[in-house]
Amino acid sequence: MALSDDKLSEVTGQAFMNLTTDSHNGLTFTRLNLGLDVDTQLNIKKLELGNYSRSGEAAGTADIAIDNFALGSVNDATGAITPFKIKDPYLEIAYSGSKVVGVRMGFGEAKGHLSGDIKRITGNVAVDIYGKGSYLASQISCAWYDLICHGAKGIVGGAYANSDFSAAAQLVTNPGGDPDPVRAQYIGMVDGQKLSIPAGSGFDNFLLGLFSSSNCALLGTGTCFPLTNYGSFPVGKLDPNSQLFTDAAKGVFLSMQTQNVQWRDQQDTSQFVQALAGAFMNLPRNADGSAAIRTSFQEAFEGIPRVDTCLGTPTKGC
Amino acid sequence: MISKLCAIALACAALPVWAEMQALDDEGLSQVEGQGGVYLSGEFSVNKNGGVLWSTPTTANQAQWTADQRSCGRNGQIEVCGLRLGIRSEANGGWFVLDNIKGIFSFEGLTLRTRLINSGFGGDGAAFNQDVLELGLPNEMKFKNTTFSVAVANQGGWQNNKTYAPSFQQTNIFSGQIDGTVRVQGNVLIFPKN
Amino acid sequence: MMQKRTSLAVLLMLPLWAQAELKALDDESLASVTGAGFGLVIEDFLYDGTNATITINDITNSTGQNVPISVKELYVGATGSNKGSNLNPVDIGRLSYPWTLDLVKGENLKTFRDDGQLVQTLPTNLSVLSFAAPSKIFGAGGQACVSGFAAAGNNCSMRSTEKVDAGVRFDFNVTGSRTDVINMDFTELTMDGSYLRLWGDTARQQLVGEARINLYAKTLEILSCATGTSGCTSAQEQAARTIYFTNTYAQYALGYGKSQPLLFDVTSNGQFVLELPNPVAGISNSTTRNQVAADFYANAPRTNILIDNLNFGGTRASATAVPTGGYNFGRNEISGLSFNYLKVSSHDL
Repeated sequence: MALSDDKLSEVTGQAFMNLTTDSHNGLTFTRLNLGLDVDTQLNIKKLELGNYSRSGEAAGTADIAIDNFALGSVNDATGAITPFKIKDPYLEIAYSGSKVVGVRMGFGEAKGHLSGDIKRITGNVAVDIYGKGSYLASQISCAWYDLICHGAKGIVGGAYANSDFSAAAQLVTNPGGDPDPVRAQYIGMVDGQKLSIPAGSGFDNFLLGLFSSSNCALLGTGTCFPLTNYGSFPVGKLDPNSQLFTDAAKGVFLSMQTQNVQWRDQQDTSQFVQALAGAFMNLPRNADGSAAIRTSFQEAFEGIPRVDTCLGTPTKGC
Repeated sequence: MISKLCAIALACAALPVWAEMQALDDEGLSQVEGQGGVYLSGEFSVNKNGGVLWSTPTTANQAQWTADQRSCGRNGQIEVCGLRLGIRSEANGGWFVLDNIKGIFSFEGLTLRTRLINSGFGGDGAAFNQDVLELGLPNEMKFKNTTFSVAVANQGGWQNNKTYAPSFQQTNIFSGQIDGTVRVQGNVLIFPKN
Repeated sequence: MMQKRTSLAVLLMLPLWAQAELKALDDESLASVTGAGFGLVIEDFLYDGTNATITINDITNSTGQNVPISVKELYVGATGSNKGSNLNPVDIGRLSYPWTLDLVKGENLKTFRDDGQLVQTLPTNLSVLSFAAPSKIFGAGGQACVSGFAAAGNNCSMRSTEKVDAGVRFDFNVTGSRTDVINMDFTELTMDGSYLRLWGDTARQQLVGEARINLYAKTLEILSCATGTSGCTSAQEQAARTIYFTNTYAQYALGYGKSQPLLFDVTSNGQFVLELPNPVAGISNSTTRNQVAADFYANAPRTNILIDNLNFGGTRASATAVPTGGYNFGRNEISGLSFNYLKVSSHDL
């Protein structure tokens, strides 16, 4: 509703914070929005949320346990810092009647490196793996008798050597290849997940559709990797050539809830994100379908080395 | 009669001898407690009817105020404005502002005196053994329409940015308003540290 | 006769002068002289704001309308107040460990590191205004910062007679159709080791500082309904709507005077900026950078937050027991948080 002239003239100070409400799926929400731009480079020695005994999980574990957590990176050669950028953070409370059933802290936009020794993570971590056929072929190993596998390796490394392949990955169990959103230790392709060539024809993708990941393996190559392999994740779009972040991830949040809660998705406000009971970290796909975290096949197989997050001699643990 | 007078005079003469002042030694001095003090009651009003800078306009529409008018109401109300305090912590920087400080507050029984503490306080008093300045808080403080605002602005003084000074920018962070009686008791003890 | 008396009096006074003569302090005593300053203790303090109406204004909703927040049930009193219903006075600070206001040279104001070492965090040769809570004690006489919880440390100075119960309730109405209530109650709250230090930085031409805010509490409970209203009357209903923190502390560290002072200023377009600059910014020699970084990581205070037990909707068997039932989030910890860089700027929404 447009403010009348009278009302407009009263809005003397603009404000950097405001309160909004929402209601859907039987719950009501109150939110404090903060108009802040936060640039930071920080290190946390130990981040642990939700250390309680949970059925189906090993004793002594936590929903989120990350050692040497860091945001942003430093360049020791020059002493310069590349900060992690957060825009418009907010704090939202979910109520069922007058009872608080969830709290979340989210970022309107986030981009930069997120680093850590991830021991356990609970949540929705969407990763896109991309790479050239030539590299993927080099990782496919076939038993001598597996003609289909050899055939596929030949095609991938031959006709499709220069094509950009992509696969969607998420938190999984290993072995098993089942989705594991709770206290996961691995990330990879779930059972039935296929490779695709985004720029390819229907035929290309039909061919690839014949092969899908099963029990953490696809064409003889492992498709599930321990989270500890990944020292750093780029959040947002990182241009691999310039190593600069070109776009931010929207919809990143950290929440705690006593039951499964549908939180409104920030990038597509007609959608919701289901957060499971417990502590939950959401690093979702962007509105255009791209994941908040994109890594190459090479990085997926070999791990991503941790970026330097400490000034001076150490790279972590400072 | 005269002898009686003389006797009285002699008696009086003797008195000063017994009452002659002697320097007190340290031990004696330390036992002398302050007997006096201050007891204060009062009612203070700050800008209850506005201040001298701004006169009160007849409309809440800021664009229609004259050059010397300002109203500090909200929701279409017209209100006088309170005290404004601006602090600039950086050369050529912006200002932290405490704005619209006004209202009436009253209290009874604020006391001020010195006191020696050498006992109590869970055992700390004996080791402390020092004089303190004791400010006794009044048991009740009454507030009426007392307000203040915390803001940041790019200039120290307020200007009407709808008409005369479009470059003036002030962001109110929050404002507070207090009405009623607050019970606050206690003695604030102030003493020099070594 | 009078002359004799006078001389006697004079003679009597001579030994007094001798006893009161100034002696030079030896180095050991001098080391404990921290500078000119005042100690502050509030004896028998009690604050009860239940009969006053306090409103916070100027926080708006998305259309720019004011959302008034009513502040009720604000109280500070001695522990054991049963959420403010039984308020008794409490001493804030101790005579031997008071709150202090000092003006002192940077090199004379040392800070305790977490391991008990005294280090210099402030630059040399400038005057610092310091407002500090009672200092910590490393060694004999240290008190448990959170009673019955050793992980919070035993180096606080406030005993249980100086820890407070405090609480506040916020009611606000964003839409008009429902009122949100946040009713907070702390027990055994203390702030030992906190401080705010301010000084002028000539190169930056501004007021800069370093701050540490330590909060230790045995329990914090947050109730999300108004007691006495529908759905919030029985003990069971209230327990289901309570968030319980037990054995919790937060130690916020902002700024390290020598290489990373806290900068807080207002820009020329009326927005505020909070900044912790890069400690090695502007140093071209890499050996010097490494030295400054090593000193920063070794001596700058860090932020630590620990909630030993977080529970939503359970019930406590006694006032400070860990709740059972509800959803137990267990232990939550952020430790060793250190900023190499932070810049928070506000903008209009």
